[in-house]
Amino acid sequence: MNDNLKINLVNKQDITCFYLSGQLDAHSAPLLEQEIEKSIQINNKFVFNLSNLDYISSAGLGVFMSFIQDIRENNGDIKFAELNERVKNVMDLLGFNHIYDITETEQEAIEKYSN
Amino acid sequence: MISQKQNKKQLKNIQINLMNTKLNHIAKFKTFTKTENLESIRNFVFENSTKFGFNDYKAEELVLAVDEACTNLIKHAYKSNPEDSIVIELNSCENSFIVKIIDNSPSFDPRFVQDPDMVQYRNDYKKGGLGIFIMKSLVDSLDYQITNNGSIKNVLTLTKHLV
Repeated sequence: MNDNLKINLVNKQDITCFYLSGQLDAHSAPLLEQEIEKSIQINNKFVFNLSNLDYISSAGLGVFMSFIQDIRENNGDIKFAELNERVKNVMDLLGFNHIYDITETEQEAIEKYSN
Repeated sequence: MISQKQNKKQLKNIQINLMNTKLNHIAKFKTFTKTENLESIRNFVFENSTKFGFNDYKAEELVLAVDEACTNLIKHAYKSNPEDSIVIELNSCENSFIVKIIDNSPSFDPRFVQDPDMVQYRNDYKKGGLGIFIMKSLVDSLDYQITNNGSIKNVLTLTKHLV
């Protein structure tokens, strides 16, 4: 069903890195929601590497918004890295850079957790 | 005197032309209101809008605006009833690309939805409600009409200019 979004998870030390590829829209948003739901049972520090994410709509952005408060209340965070221009434009339009750390590289995002 | 008369005539003609502005039909796409069809709606709008002359950046803005409109219809208006259909009609008028989204769900006029206070929005970590804001931000004009030709239909019109 949800074949327009692929999600891979890699744990790097105490951080869970999500690799999203494809399209995050109203169709694939529930799939990501499920995956984050599972992950927050065991971790609260996340980096989303979006280098292969081609598309995002408000339904996709809404997924992050629905988890961020709980995650931060548990001293965790969601950070974004390696956005392509298309995705970055949408995040800029909604001012996501004011809410989230958005970095050029995944390594930078990981290092921000140790600052 | 003659030239004034001509001017008046020309002016009149321009007004008549504007009133009778005919839309050039580009393409039409009908699909069921399921979220899995959003991708084909996006491809349809992207291909035709780049053919019309938009660069990729502008075409992607329009694609996102149409996606947000259709997502709203699928999620809210139809309550995701997969039996219902939605029609996307593409037209042009001079340098304007006009997208009509036609459906027969209960009427909902997005023109009267207030823009969210983005600072408040971010502070409250709100989840939804940004679709209409995105839609309005990415097109040059947005119009909404209810038509009744035997059956009641909503027509949402998004217009984006080439320059």
